Amino acid sequence: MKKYARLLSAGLSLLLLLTSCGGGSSETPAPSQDAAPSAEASAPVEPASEEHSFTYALSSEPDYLDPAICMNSNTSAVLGQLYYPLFRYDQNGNVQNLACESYTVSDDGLTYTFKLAAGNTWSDGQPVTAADYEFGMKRSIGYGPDSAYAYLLYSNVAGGAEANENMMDVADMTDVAIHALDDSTLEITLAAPCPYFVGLLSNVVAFPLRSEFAVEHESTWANDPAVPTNGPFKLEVVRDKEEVVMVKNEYYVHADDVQTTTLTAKIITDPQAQLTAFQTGEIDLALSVPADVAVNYADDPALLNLDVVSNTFLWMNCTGETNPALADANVRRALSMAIDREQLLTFIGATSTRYPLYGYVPKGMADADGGDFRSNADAEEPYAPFDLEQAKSLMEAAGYNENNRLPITISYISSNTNTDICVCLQAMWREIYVDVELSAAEQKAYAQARKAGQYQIATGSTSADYLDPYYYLERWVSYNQGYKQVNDPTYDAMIEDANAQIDPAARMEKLHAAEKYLVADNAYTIPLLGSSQLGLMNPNISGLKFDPTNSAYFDGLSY
Amino acid sequence: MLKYIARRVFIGLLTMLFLITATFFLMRIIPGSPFINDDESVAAQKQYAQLEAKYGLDKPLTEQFGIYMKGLAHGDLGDSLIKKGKSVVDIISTTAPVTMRLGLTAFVFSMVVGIGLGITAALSKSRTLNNFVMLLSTIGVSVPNFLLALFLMLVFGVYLEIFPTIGLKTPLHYVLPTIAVSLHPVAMISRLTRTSMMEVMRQDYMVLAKSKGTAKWVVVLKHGLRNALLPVVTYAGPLIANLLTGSFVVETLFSIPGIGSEFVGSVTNRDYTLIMGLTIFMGFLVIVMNLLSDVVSAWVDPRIKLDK
Repeated sequence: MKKYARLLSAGLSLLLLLTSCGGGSSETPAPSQDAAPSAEASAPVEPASEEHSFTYALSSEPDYLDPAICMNSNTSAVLGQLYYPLFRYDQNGNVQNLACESYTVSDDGLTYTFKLAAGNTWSDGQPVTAADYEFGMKRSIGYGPDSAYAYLLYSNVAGGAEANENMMDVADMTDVAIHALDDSTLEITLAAPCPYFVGLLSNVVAFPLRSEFAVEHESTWANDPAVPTNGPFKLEVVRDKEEVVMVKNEYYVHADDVQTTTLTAKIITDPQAQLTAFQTGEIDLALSVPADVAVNYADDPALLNLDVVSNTFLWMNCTGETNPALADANVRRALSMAIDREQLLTFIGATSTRYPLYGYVPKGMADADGGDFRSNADAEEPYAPFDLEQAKSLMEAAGYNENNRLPITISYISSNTNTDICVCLQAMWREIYVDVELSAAEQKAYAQARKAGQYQIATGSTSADYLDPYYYLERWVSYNQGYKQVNDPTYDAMIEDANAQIDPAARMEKLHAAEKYLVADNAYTIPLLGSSQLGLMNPNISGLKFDPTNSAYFDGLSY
Repeated sequence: MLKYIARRVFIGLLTMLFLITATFFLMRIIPGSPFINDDESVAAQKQYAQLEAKYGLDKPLTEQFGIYMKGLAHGDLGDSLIKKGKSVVDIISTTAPVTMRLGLTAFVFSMVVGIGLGITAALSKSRTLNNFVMLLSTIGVSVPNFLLALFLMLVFGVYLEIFPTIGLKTPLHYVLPTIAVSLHPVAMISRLTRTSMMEVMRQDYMVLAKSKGTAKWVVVLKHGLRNALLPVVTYAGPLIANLLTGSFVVETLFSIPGIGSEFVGSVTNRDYTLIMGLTIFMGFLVIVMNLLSDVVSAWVDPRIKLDK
């Protein structure tokens, strides 16, 4: 019996040893509750009429909640609820004034003067001033290489590039042309005209921050609930890899319109798990769900089909270094013409969630006349029409036929949808004497090979950081490519010329011409599909705001 | 005994050193980089170069290894390359306890249920019960845990709505993931226990004990089980190490913020420092648990003489 007791005690001490290291909790503690409202006598006293909570899923853990380093939609899906920026895109992609009441632009298109709306208050009761916006923007510019979106500011604002390069402190940025003229006036001067500049100020890097809380060049302060924010919600607690809990900010300028009292972002990485959590009612909104939801929930009011700006296209290695045939514009055009995009949609089973794309710029970008850039262009002429006969004759003219077929390899990131797309292309191109070999790779390996030019044709997909056709068209300018698969001085000149136009109509006209040159005349890239964002939301709750840059806002939810 | 342990610790250290070196160079052979993405704009190119420089990835590989080992000697595992601003130690200390809580629950559950089933099957004359245990253990070793996890989520979470399926907040949250990770060990343990228990029950000393008129439960527990558990103890070491390092599939499906899903994510992201940190941590666990299990076996079984 003695031996047995020893075994038991050994086992117990082992257990104790292990559990004792398992006790550490990672929570950032919430500050003593309601410390803020009692501090100020003028606090707006909101009789908590009804408690409403809303839970949404994030497909990965957000980074530190520091606007300067935010680089993915899961982090911005939290930040967007905490801060109240100058501008925001609405669901149609139009720029909407939030904290900015009005603004003026100088005649040369360089100097913007923003007038801030009254009543904008931090969650600790202090008024939000123009200097807070100035600090937030300058801090992003000087943060360092970990700030992925600082380029939106520093590449436009006069003096910004140098400040970014040298990782300057805000105090030293006197030459960066962002200045708070008084508490409610902000002036920004650009290095060159940028017709879509106010839209860029909707990005997280332009959020206001309090200089006494937001430490420069680092982010660990950001998950502390004591840091004041000025959005509809304020931070309650961050539980690493688990959830972010936010509560209504009573000091928010439009707090009366916010019905939600507790907002929780739960981290659920697996799409199937998001679906299950939605079905069990553990979450009210899932935006990363399996694709078959479109079919299974087709007639259900819970199904969301949200407009986002995103395209799927083919990278073409036009240098001919890996496949000489691809240096021939006619071969590339034939490849584009041989694709029946309607059939492609049906084949991959995405008729309700994607649409055929006949130009490189997807739907959701405003044209000069207020209409949609893509729809306007398509109404005149689709740049990538399906025309099998002409595709065949182009290939025959280039010397290909049944006996002399062209071998091509398509590289893609391994996924079900990508595989389906490539298999479909393989079948369609067989008709025009092309034999396709498929080459799937894991994401990072694919990116490295493609960036080194080790590919012939590759599938790609781009969603927009800001809503202007220039965002898409600029990518094919030679200096915007590490490996110059498209290197055409004519195209570079067309884009530069377009962007030099101050008149919006002339600028858009030139962008249309450039896109036609890119896609129809040269097939430097082959557009395939545009997509929308699928989701499931509790049908008893309405008022979700969703903008085409893939951001959701919960201030307008009603129950 | 001490000499044996000292020797094992030394071998363990050598193993760790080999593990660290091999992982460091192997992970760098995989194509891709933590900062690479499909964006090629001037800004993205510039950012890529700046990040490589900031984290020292532009230096020669051997130099980077030297820097890493130097940091390691000072107990510095570095910062995650992908999770901005978070240190590897932070990440391990927030995720490991979660996995440990689930792992220990599953360990205790597997031991109790596995041994219980094994003894019952060994002692019972009932064919049905025996067949049931054999069937369960066959299913347990052959059904992959993601299938079981999805099945449990659908049946008990979605349709019956008995158990929650997200996270590990309350004791109820532990039920489904515990079953999902325990099925395989339960099957293994019940099989091991049953076989060795049946073997032990046939031994002469058991017959002697019974013929002395000792109470049946004393015979079974004191003389039978103690000897029958030896193979289970040997299995328990690797099992606990396995449970404590977490299961990627179960953690992902049940959205458990544990270390198993972190490990797979770090490789997909090429988060070099995090890969290294987690490898070292998990390697350490495995080595220590194996050592403990050997020592405990020796302690229990007088036939094992470690010093020889």
